[in-house]
Amino acid sequence: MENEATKNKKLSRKKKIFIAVIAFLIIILIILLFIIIKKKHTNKNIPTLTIVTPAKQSISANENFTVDVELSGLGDVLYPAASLSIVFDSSRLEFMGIEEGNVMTLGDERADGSSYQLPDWSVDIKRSNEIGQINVMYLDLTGGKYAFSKDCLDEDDSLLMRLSFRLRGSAKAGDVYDLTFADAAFAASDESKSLASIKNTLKTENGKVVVKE
Amino acid sequence: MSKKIVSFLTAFAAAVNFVPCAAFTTFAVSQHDDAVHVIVENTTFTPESEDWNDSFWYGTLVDTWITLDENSTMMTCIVEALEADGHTADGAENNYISSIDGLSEFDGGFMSGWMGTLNDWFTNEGFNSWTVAEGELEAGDEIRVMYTCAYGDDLGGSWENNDSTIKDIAFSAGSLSTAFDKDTHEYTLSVPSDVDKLTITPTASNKNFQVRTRIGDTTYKRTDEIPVADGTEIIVECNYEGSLSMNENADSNAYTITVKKESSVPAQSQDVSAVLNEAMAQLSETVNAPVFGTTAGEWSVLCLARGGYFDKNNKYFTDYYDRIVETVNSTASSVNMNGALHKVKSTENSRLIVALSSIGKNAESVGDWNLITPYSDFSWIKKQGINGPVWALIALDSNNYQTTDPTIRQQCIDYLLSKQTADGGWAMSGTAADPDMTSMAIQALASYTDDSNVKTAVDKGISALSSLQKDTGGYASWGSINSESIAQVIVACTTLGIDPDTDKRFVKNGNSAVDAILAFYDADSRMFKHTADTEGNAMATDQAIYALAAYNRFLNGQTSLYDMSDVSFDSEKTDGLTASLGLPQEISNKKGTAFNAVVNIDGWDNEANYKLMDCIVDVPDSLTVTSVTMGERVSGGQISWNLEETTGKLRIVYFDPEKNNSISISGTDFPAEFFIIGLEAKEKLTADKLDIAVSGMSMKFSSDSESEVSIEVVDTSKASGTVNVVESVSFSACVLYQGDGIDLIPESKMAVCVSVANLDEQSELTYNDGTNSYNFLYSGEITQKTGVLNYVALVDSSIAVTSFVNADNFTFGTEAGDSLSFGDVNGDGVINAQDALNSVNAWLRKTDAPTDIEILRLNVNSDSRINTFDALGIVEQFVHGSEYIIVNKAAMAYTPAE
Repeated sequence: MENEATKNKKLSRKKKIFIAVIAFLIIILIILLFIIIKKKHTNKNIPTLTIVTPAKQSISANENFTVDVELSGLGDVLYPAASLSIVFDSSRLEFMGIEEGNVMTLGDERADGSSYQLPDWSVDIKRSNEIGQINVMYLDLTGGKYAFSKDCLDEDDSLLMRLSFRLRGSAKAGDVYDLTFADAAFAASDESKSLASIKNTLKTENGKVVVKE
Repeated sequence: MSKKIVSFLTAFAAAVNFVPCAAFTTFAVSQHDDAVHVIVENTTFTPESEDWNDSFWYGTLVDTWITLDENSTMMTCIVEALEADGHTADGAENNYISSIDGLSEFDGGFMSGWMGTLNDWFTNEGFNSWTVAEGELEAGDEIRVMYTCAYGDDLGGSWENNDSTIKDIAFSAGSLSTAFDKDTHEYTLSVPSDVDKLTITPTASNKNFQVRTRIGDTTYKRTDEIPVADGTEIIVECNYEGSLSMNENADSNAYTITVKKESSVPAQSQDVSAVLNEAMAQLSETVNAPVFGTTAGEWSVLCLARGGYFDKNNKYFTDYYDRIVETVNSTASSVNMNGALHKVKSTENSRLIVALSSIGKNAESVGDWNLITPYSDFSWIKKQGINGPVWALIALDSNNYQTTDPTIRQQCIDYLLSKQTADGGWAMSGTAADPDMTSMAIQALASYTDDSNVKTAVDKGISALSSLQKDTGGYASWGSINSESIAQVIVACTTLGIDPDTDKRFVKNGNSAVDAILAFYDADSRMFKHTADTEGNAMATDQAIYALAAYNRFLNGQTSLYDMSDVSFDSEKTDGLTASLGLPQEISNKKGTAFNAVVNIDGWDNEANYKLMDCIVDVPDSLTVTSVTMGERVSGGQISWNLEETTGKLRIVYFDPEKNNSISISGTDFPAEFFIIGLEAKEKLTADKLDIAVSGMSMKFSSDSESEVSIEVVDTSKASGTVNVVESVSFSACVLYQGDGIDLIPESKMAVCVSVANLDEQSELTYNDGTNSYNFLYSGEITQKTGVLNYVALVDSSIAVTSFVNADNFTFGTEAGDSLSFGDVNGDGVINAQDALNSVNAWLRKTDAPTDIEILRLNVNSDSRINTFDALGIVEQFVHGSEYIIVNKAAMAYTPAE
């Protein structure tokens, strides 16, 4: 009986250790899950501008290619103005202009009921190539009627604009040319709600142009 | 019927006095206090009638005063009045007048004959029954003998109805709270504070009923002056108890009019400038690129020019003019009628001419056309009816344009006079005056009132406008009270020097025409509405703004809206290019002192395809040239230069020897920075002054020396200057701008730029003159451009600029002090979309009034206001790298005056 009792006691202790280990693992798992979810959640809620690195470019192609600039997430306010400054190597890349994305602004209501329109970005191609920096700005002079809004974003596909480039003759196979944000801002009338890279309220992810070997 | 006939035969009627005339009444009372007024007239049986023959007469035969005696009756007074003027009446002796001067009963039909009223009432007994002896005929009474063709129905008396209401009441002064209506029995009559007496002239709906006017138990005649005070209650009664009438069984109607005295404080014209400026600011934004047309075109330009929102040389207007030149060239060619812009609408030319005059552009030379030429054809002018001559006069007079046919103006005037309606106004169609056309005709004729005929017509027009005004102070056309009609009245009044806000003729029920138009302002949209129940409307906004501009000009003692004699018209366009030179006013005498000479160019045309620029700059031998750089907006060439030390001649060439490109300058603002010369003292400077001059500057259309080179010589007469050399710290100053109080910059503030020579490095700079104290902000941009340390501050505009060159007023700190970066509105060190948006929001008043430093950051185009042009300036700088106007202005500010 005593042996049996001791045996049971030992069994019970093993069982307790097992349970404790399992519980510990579960707690660790929960913490990890919480961190992952939180991180994922946080990332999703920081508006981000991303220069999407395109496929490798061939020197011999001598054709224009585009680099997508994507936008994810906007706050619950209107952004009547936006600007991007992107640095590039103008001795190797020739900036050819910007092409429309699919991110729209608010607009006048049309007969079909839609009320969005494509933004009219201001950019100076010649100057961009002279100084090696693309400065592009959108300004709604009404202060909100034609503003960017999160309602204008497509959750899955928010292409703000496409930058069009061409490799110059000086470009070399295997080179990598950075496309780097110098500044970016989505300006709200209440400046405390603006998104600005300088204030870390707008995340920017740089891209590059890779020349095929 | 028998009763009618009996009554007709026995009752002679009198008096339908539709014109309440205080002067007349006063005259009657003061000059005829023992007489009655007798009128004999035929207004019903007209020469157009089938029964008419030349022995009859029409109109007023007698209008005179007859002195009463104790035996006087109505009949004796009538006979005496007729005989006094040599007229005869048959039947008076029988108490029945059958004929007067050959116009007899039944001549005008079987219901025709003579009737009459005593004090506007068809008496119920024959005229002999109304006697002085019985007290039924008194001094001041009015006897009116009239010919009727309808038993009196055509004279306002009827046996067919028992309508005992009052149809209308006229007052010698004041205005009723609401327009009189026979079914409304309570009114308030507002009268000026200095009015103590009134004459009241009621008109019965049926003059077979007697009407009386009383205060308490005291009854007053139609011709009496009734004493009134604040709160006096006046009762006007028709068919009152005890009154007489040929009609029976009618009710009584009483109307109570309470007198309200207006404030004795003299009426003050109201300041409309705040609304005007706000509306103009919005208009400049809404119509940001006006073109030829009735909306978003000439009227908007007129508003902003005459309202003083933009200077006539503002880019807004110069761009508009460029567009107009293109339109005129194509349209006039298409119409092909000597500069006419439309085959039948002369107002197309007139509207444009008025707008061009407002911005100082001569309509005789617009592109390839003279817009005045077609006005020598009056048939073209009047094809549009009355509108054509009205606007032809306004347009021609806007800059005293002369037509080939010198009689055109008179033809227009004669045409307008011939179109005046019977009620004293003018109408687009029909015979009743409408406020719009009446006002516009007055505007057109106002310059010609030296002609008595025109003066009379204009006076009648003003009376008509006064009569047409509603109790709200507004005006109606096409069935609704609208802002456009009010606008035209305001313009008409101000053209004649009449204050539409305080002149009693244009104040009804305490509401002026100005009050009325302001009621149409929609503060949210900053636009004016067409009618009260609509939203802001472009046409209404245009007209209301230029009306308020006209009124504001009137208050400020400026010329009227269409009198452009205050506008300086562009002289013949100066062809060719001109250069100017900007230099610091002072520099240090130390060896190694560096500064810049900035050369600007004006009159540039990229389409000229200049290939090469060269010039010579005279440089003092104590200086050397460290650099020559082209302005940021200039492209197409490569710079080469050489300083010939022995002669001090700096030779500069700019062209592209390989590509032979055309030289171009981006942007539209001129003068533009062309190139900057970096200069440095080779040794300690001993001269007090240094003279620098640009000469021999030319633009060549080819850089090929072998070819026939064509040259355009640049005028460099203004491209020279002097720099003062100073040994110690010295200040020079200039005003960059002063606020005008319209858009965010108070009139009491001005921006001052101070240049400090002999200051080695950026230091904190404080101004204190004992009364005012300011911390000046270092401007790196101006410093870089001029080569001399520069500071700016927003200061009280009453301070003399000379105070800022007095070194005693300045102290330097040990620290570098604060800096200013133009365009960095939020001061975060980066210029981006946020700054542009903040500029927009400041102008939209979405943010608090800017602080002094924010004003300095915001006003990048250096005018007197902060508005969207500054926002666009920030965009231009960000995207294109365009230099802020204020920086170039500071660099050029010290250029000696001509």
